[in-house]
Amino acid sequence: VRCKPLMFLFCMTLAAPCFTEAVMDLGAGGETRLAEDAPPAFEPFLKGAASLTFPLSEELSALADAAARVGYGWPDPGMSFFGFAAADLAYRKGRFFGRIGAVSTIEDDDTEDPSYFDVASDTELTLDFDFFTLSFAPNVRFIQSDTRRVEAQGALWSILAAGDQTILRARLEGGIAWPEQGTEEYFAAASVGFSLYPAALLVVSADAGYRTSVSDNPLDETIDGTVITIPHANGYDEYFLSLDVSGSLARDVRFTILAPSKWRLSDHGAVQDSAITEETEWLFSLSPAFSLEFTLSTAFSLKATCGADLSFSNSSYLEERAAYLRIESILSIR
Amino acid sequence: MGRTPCVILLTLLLASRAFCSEAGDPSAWFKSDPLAPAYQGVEEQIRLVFDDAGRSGLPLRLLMEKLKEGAAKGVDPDKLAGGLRAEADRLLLAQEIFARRNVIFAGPGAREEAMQKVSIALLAGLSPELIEELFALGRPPARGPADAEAACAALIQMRESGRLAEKDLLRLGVALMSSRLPASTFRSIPPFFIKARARDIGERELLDSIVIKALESGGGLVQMEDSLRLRLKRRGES
Repeated sequence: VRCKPLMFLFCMTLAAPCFTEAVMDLGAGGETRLAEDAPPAFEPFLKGAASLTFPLSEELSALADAAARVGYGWPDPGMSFFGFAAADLAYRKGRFFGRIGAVSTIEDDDTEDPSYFDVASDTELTLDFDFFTLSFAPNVRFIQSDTRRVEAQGALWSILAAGDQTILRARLEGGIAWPEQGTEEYFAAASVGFSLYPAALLVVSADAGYRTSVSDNPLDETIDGTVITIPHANGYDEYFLSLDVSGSLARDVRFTILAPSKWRLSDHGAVQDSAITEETEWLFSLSPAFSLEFTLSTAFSLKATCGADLSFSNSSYLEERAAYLRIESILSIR
Repeated sequence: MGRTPCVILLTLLLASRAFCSEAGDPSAWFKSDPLAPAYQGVEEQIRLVFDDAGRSGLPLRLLMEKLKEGAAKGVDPDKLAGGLRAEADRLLLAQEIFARRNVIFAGPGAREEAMQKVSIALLAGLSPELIEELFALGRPPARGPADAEAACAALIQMRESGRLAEKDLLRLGVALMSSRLPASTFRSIPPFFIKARARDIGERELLDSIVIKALESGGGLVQMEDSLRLRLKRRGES
């Protein structure tokens, strides 16, 4: 008797007309590090995505979504794979929109780093008004990477249209995690942001926020060949600010400027000369990037990105200053 | 009637006649404009374009504007004559669309403005069928011709910024006109596409799963932003 509703949904899904969309991209990317001795990197890749929508009734629809990317990076990291799959059932009636489903991602490559796998519930409840939405998403996630971890989190957010050209966002999030070893960890985050559509073919978005994480668990980090045990490794306070400007310069030429930055204060001391010091570890990182994308035909596009990864810290192992130029060509098959 | 009102009326009549002649008759322009001598060689062709347009009931003021603009820019005489003929053809097409769809305007000014915008849309590559569909949907009480004009402007930008096929532009146009979205928001749709494309969301996925889905369910930019957020989250980007 308990299986009947599920059986009914399954049969309806099979019987319903479905809308399919699929895309496959064949591409190659080249990257050179500026002002560094590292050799240029090259990566041919194949990526595909498919989506199936089943309208089951006026209010109910089912969606299956999958994407995968396989690449071979030379000289590093060799073969790499990323995939995700999601399925959900959505219900919309009047102002209410609800979605329940599951989503899973997997990542692996030829480096010594362990592969990553996660599976999570994907539940969302939304009140949908003309000029704003209010959503709540309580979810659980299982992560298998170098260690296992289970997370339970809830997010509450709202998106609001302020006039015809401005969108405002606000988000509150909190959660608890159970790492394989050690005690529970907690996190809370709050962010606000906006998107501005000031002129034709230009959009400016910015987000700012704060995140705090509490952890008593230590973590073993190998720094300069020495294993250092970092106490409260996942405990920190973080402030972030990101800017995103996208626009069109001419027919079939688009540009993007991304500038995410964050300021993190850890709950442990800085690592200097392979030892933990009394001084609180801080990290400021900034990753500006400028991209130009040329759509040369319906199937072929070329994207050039010039950017930098900059990290400043009082812990030497977190310091990084690198600039890069990346060119990617993509042939799309739809 | 006293003497003073008669003088005012006469002055107004003469002024309006002079204006009409200047606004719609190229002969006056050829006689008075210092740039006109450069175009004497194509005067006959230009006069023919104006005569045909006048017989078809097109607003000659729009053609005169084009003539003056072309001359001010120093456009080659043959090109200018050809351009005027093409403009007249586009205005005629606009007029036919309005007649077939029985489009009602607030006044002659609004009608001329709409003809000009349709001509721009045709020049930008939108098909007459697509434009006609937009004006067919731009009917009271829900919509008006000004909404169809705003949809045309948004679709021109879509063509300029991406590579959507004609049938996809039509689907987007129909979805915009059938939505609850105010026309003033239509122009935010092309930049939204650019923003999502910059995050590697494919145009087809964007059109079907985000934009049209939001519009069909009575939503707008807010719902599209939320949908984009979900897509990016699933791909581990937010």
